[in-house]
Amino acid sequence: MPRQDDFDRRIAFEDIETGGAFVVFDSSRDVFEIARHYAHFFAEESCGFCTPCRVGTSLLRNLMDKIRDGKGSQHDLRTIEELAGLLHHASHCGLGESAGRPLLGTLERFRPAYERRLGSTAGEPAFDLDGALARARRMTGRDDPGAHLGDGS
Amino acid sequence: MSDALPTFKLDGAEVPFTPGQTVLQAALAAGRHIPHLCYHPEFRPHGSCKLCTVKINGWHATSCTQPAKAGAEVQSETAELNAERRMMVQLLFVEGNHFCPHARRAATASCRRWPTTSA
Repeated sequence: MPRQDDFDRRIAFEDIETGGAFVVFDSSRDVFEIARHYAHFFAEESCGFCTPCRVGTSLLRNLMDKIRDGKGSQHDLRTIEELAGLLHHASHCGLGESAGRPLLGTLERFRPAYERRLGSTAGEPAFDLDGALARARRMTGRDDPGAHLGDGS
Repeated sequence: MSDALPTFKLDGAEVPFTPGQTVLQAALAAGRHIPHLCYHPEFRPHGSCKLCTVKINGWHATSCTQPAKAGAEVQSETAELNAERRMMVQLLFVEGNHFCPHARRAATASCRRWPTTSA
C-alpha cells in the first residue's frame, strides 16, 4: 500500500508487486476502513480448505472489527502482523497468501490510522493487573513497592 | 546409506527416498519426524492442515504432498517453522472444531509428539 511520498516507486516484481491490478484511493478515504473492508472480503472468500486461511482470515476480520470498536491494543496489532505472516507462508493458494497484505501494508505505511483507534496505545490488553491487586493490598494492609507491579512490567 | 537410492537433505542430514515418495513419507521411513496432522498413510495426502509445512530450497511447501527430489535442501526443525506450527495448532483450537477428549486413539495421535515448549 504505497503512500503519497512513494509516487516515484515502480510497479514491478522487484519493487511494488502486483497481480496486474491496482486501486487508487483519494485522501478523502479512511485507510483503516479500506483495510477492514479487505479483511471482511477475504474472510468471506476463503474456501476453508487450509487451516491458516480458513481460521486466520476470520481472526483478522474479528481483530479489525475490535479495533474499529475502539477496543484494540498494541497487542492486537502485533497479532495481526503475526497472522498475516503465517497466512503468507503457510496458505495453500494465492488468496490466502495475499489475504493479510492489505493489513500489513497499511500497518506499515499508515500506522496512525490504526493507533488512533486503539483503546490504549502503550499497554497490553484492557486488563489492569495492578488494579486487580488492589483488593489484596487492602486485605493485607500493604502498600509498599513490593506490593505493586511496576509501570508497564 | 544405500548407494542406489537418491537422497535429499533434511535439516542437514541425508535422507534416502524411492522415487514417487513425498518428503514426509521418506522422512518417516528414515525415522525422522516432521510434525503433521491431516496426513495418514492409509489416505491420499491432502495437504490441508499445513502442519507439515517445511522449507524446500527456501520455499514453503507441505511435506506430505511435495514429491521428494534428489539434492533438495529441506528445513523442518527451525524456530520459525515450529513457531508457525504452534500458531497453526492454536488456530485449530480457536476454531473450536476439535474432539480430542473423545478421540479413542488420542494416546497414539501424532499430535502427542509436537513440541510443547515455547521457542
